[in-house]
Amino acid sequence: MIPWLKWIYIYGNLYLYDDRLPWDEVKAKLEREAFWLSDEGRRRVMRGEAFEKFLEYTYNLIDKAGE
Amino acid sequence: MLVSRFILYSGDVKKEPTIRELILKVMRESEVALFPREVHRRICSLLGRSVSLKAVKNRLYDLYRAGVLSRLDRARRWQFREGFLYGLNYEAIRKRLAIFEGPLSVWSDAERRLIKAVENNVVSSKKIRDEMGLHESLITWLSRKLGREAPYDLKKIGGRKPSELSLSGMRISN
Repeated sequence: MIPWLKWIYIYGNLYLYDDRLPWDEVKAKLEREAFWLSDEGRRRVMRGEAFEKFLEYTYNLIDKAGE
Repeated sequence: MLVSRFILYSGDVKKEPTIRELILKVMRESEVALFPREVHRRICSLLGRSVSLKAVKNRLYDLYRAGVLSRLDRARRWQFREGFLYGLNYEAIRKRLAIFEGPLSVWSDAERRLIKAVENNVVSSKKIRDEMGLHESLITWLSRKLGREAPYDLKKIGGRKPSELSLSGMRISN
């Protein structure tokens, strides 16, 4: 009904976009989203979270040593 | 008692326009498509008296069957709460659908908010859910109702760039 409104499923997630936008721009955005939803993307998120936890633990150790 | 009355010759009698003629007049005067109730209201104000809404609906249907009017209906996967949307052509219907504010807007509040969120944007249903507080199943339903599925598939490639969008089996070259 709205000619420019398009939807697409990426790894089970619904994405909506304006078809009047340049396709390269839409494609780049959707592929970036797809990356973070893919196995590789999820693995990197988990590694990032683990690294953040490790940093927090390290800073806590440094703070304690400083006291 | 004999009473004399002046009667116009039949040729000079000013005939009241038919509902069909009035519908066409209303449609030509309106730039956008109208619902039967709106056509009925305008006809009543033109005539200065009330006419049956059912008669207006029937004439609208006749004109649609005759190919004079266009309408959005279930065959085009559309159904409005106010009934069918009639216009002289699809351009009039398109103009009506493009109105998002005011009394002529055909969209519900949720639909309007969804359209505004997607306009000039690429958004996930999760983001819309978080920002608008709409249930995800409603967003899915509205997306299917208002929009169309993108003619693209996501292909898994692997490696650092594990996926790429391609046009229905055809690879898109940048």
